[in-house]
Amino acid sequence: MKQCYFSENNVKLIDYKDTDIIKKFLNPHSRMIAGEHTGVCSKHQRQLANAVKRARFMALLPFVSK
Amino acid sequence: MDHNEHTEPRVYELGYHLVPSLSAKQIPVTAKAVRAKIEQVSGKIIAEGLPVFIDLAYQIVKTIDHKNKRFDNAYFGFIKFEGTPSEIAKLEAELKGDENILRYILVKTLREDTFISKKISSSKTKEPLTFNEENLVKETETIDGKKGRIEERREEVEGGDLDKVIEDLVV
Repeated sequence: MKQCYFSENNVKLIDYKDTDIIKKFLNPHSRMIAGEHTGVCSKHQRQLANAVKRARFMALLPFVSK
Repeated sequence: MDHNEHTEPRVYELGYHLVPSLSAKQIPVTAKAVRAKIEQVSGKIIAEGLPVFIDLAYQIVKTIDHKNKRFDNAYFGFIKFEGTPSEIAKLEAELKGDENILRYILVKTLREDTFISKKISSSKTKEPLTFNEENLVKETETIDGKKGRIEERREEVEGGDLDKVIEDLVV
C-alpha cells in the first residue's frame, strides 16, 4: 500500500507557497489528482485542496492549463 | 467571516503581490510600509519573506483610477505574525485601500516553518563524495592488503603444499 507523501515527511500544514510540492499532485491540466491514485491520506488531501485554492488565487498556480 | 468568534491571539500569514510598476528602490520601502501596517495592529512578527519578482500563473486585472490594468508579473512577499481576530479585520480594511498591493491573502497558519520543499530536498541529498587524502590512503591500504594475501597464497602453492591449500579452500 502506498504511504502518504506528507505523513512520511511529517508535514503539519501544507503551505500554499510550496508550489513545487503541490505541482506533484496536479495533472497536466492543473487539476488535482485523486488521493486514491497518489496515496495521500484524507487529512492531507483536504489540506492540499486548500493549498491549491490559495495558490491559484495568488496566481502562483494556474486554474487551468492546456 | 465572523472575526468575533475567537479572541485569543493566533498566528496568521499575509501573502501579498506588489505592483511591478514600482522601481527596485521603491520595493523595500513599500514592503516596510506593509510591515508597519501589521506592526500597528499587532506587535509580534514571527517571520518575513521579502518581495521577490515572479511571473504570475495568469494575468491579474486590477482597477486603478477607473481603468483596468493588467499584470503578468509582480513582487511576491509574505509576513507571518501573531494577532487577534479583531485586529485582523482592521488590517484587512487597510490593505484593501493600498494601491501598491495588487492582491493579498490572509490565512491562519502555524508558528513553525511550514515551507517544506527546502527541508525535503536538503534531507534527501546525500553528502557529496570527496576525494580527500584520508580516503585515498584507506583505498591504497586495502588494495595493498589484498595484494599481500594473494602473494602469501602464491608462495604456499609454489612451496609444494598444493593439497593443503586445496583443503583449506574447500573447508
